[in-house]
Amino acid sequence: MPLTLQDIILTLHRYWGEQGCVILQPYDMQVGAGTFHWATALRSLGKGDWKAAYVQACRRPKDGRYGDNPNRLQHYYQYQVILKPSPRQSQELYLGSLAAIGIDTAKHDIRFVEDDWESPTLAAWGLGWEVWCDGMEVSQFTYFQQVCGFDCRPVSCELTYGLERLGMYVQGVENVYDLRFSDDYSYGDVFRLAESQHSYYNFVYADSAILLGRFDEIEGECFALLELGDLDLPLPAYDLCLQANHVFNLLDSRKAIGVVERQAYIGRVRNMARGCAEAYLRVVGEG
Amino acid sequence: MQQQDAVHRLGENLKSTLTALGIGFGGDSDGRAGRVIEFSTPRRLSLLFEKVCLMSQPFSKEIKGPRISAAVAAINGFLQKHELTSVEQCEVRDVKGHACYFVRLEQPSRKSADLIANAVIQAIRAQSWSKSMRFAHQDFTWVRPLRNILVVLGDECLRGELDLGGGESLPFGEHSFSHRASGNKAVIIKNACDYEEILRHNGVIVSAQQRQDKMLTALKKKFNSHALSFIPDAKAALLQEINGLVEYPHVAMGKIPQRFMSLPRTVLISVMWRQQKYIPCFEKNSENLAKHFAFVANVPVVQQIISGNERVLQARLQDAEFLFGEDMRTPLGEYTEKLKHMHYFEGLGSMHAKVLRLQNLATKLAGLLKLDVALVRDTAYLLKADLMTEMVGEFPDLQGIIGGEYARRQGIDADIASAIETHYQPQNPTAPLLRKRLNVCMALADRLDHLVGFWLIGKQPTSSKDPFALRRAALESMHLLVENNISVSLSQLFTWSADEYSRDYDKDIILSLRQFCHQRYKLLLSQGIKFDSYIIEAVFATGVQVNDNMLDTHHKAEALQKFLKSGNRQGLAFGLKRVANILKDVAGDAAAVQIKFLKDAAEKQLWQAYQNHFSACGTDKDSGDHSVQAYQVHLQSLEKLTPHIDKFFDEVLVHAKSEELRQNRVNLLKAIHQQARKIADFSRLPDFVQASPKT
Repeated sequence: MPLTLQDIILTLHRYWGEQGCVILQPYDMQVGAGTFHWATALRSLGKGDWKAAYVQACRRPKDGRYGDNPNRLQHYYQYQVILKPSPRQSQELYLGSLAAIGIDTAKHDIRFVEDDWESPTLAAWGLGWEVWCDGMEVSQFTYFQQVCGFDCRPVSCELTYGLERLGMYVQGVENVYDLRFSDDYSYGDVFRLAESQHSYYNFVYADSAILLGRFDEIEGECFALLELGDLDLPLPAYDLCLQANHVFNLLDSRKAIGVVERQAYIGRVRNMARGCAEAYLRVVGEG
Repeated sequence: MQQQDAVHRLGENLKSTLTALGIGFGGDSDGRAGRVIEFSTPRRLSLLFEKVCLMSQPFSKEIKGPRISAAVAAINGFLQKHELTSVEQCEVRDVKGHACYFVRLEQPSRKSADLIANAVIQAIRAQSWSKSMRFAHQDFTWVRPLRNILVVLGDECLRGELDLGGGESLPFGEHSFSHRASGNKAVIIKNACDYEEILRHNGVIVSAQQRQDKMLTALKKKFNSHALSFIPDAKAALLQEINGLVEYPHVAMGKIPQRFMSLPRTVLISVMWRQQKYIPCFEKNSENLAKHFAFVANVPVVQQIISGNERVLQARLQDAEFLFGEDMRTPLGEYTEKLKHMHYFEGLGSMHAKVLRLQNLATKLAGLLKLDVALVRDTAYLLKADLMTEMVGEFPDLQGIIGGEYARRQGIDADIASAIETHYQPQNPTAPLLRKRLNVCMALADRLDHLVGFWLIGKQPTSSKDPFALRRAALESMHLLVENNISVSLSQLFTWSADEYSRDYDKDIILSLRQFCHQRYKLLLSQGIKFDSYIIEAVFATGVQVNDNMLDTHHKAEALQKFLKSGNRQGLAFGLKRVANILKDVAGDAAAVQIKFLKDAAEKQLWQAYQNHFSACGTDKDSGDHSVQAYQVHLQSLEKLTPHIDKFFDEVLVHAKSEELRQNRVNLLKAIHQQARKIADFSRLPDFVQASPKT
């Protein structure tokens, strides 16, 4: 019997826990990807070793489909693993995790497709692979080279699994809402209503004027925290940076900003992220 | 391709290092460095050097040191570097007037086995990648983490170590590794010459070419058994890319559900091969896309792999179908309104503003192309609408094509749909040029507006950078005009376009644009096969002002080429060259020739001949006929001057003592020169064009 979504998560938790990762809980903020969690974005900076794994709910307002599309969601789960320094056996460890959830790598076509990753908001980039399983992208494999504008030394290896996709694949299901979340509840039971309601908010009812003002306020507060002078508070400042980024994503889904302005907003979030990273490095004694 | 390039570069580096060390390989009897076999898979790069000499050749090398007059420190440094104790061990030789020390290094024959490891490390360090990365604590960079280095000489596994920096190092391994599907097992290479075979036995085809051939054979076989054929432009690049994702190719076919087959073909193909790297196929002997696709896997294909791939494709096509459905709910024209929110480029306003400009510019072009104004305005209005569709948002390279498709499906006039679909074409130099006048009108308007816009904001291309594809826009514009026989002044075109930007602009911009087009088109023609390059040189040399109409210019070139190639016409060319050359050193404007100052018989006859030509076809008024024929007639008429020009130069001294005579003679020559310049600058013709000077 193929694993339910929650069993997949628990299996991955056990597997990566056995590899020495601390199993964290999701970041309690609205973020676009697991990479934004301080456990990845900030901890990949500096010299210290670090190993963590966690589920992260990701909000991508623009991908909302009112609960009608079998493949796209404005809220979905990523399973995120960060290994610092990157281990020699990265690929083997990853393949082991697939085997643990029931994907026999000898009977499935697993291919590592060269791919590079970049986040303009985080001023981050890395090289790596998309992992394709029988033609479907199930994970992103990235060796961070720079985050928030700083070189990563040592280099971290980040693994990101698309949990719903993986689940649909393992269960042989074509519509995400039919995914068995647990033995008793389907994905639709849990999330269909939310998908519909949030799509209305993201595309129609989010108040652009208020959001525009909110972005400015949050940005102001973030920089104020970074400019205290006698004290560095990068972690609260980073929370604010992510809040601003989410507001930006909503403005984007409301089509409230033009193409050129988009670039300007991305730059503003990037500046906040850089400031947080600088302060963080000072705090951990490397700035 | 990247893998093959990379292993080739590595091979070249290693070849030169080995050669520099005196290690021979390849077995050529004259000792030249021979063939190296290159292997590449997604996980490994390998090189096989055959017939490697076990001993290196001895050689001696001379190294130049400092001058004998140099500082003591410099001389000592040189001695130390080459492990010498005194300058007595050096030779002294003269280099450009200075006496310098030279040391001769004698390198005896050494065991290759002792040298190769370092040579490999050097080659690895010298490897360049367009993008490379660090790993863990190391400083070393490579395209992806480097896991294993294996060097086998004959049956001996060589030892070595690559320092990775950051306290890490990678010692040479003792094995290669099997295909992942069989567990990535360690595989011993007993003898280097068995490498390929051993790896094949372990599930890996190391030769990219063989793997690709195998893949292609298997594909063809599958296609035949399903009564299908390859899409004609199944690009080699895609096949190479797919080949670079597997260590052993296993080919299989999947099915596409019928309901998706009504999606536009370009969308189906784009999803299949751009997003999924699948190979789309046709029904045999037909133009219809088949309900099948082929894919290449890295492991033997069982049903669940096929089902997996079919499901993914279905999900992607569902997405496309969703976007398509969403898009089609809105009439195409309404998308144009939304273009008010899309920027064209900073400083150039919105896309909507561009559409309005295109409408007006196209209206002006309509007269030239004999098109109905209303049709042209309607078409221009819809030209960029698809940029606001979800489909183009997802598949940006389908812009234009999607617009045309939607137009057709929404019952918009087929001609309009065609113009929208094709206005970005030709996308490459070999693609056919647009011929339908409405299509040409749109394509031209779009490119003119693009060129003018970027000139207005000062973003002309530099010699090395052209990020906005302005060169292509200029070239394609000229091509469209000439190949479609459109006779129009470039000044006029650019002015029409610039005026639509409703801002003040410096008139120099028009000239600058013309110069740019001039330059690009000249380059194209001189590199082409239609004209000898000196013809193009001569015609374009009369300058941008004279060549304001590219069709005319093209006709001039044709006429001149035909004229010079037919019969013994070199006399005219030679004569006009002489005229041009003499006038090079003469300044001042031409003035009318005064008959009273014509003294010699030769100059009087030349004047008479000139007048005959002038009344026949040399009027300064534009007769309006700029056909090739007209230019040929002009050349033939000029030819009649040839004997008179020759006689003139034989018998008359242009730079006479008398200022009046001199000036008059100059004016006569200038008048002739002017006539010649209506076609070309004859001084640019090479000398070989002249046969016997006097006939």
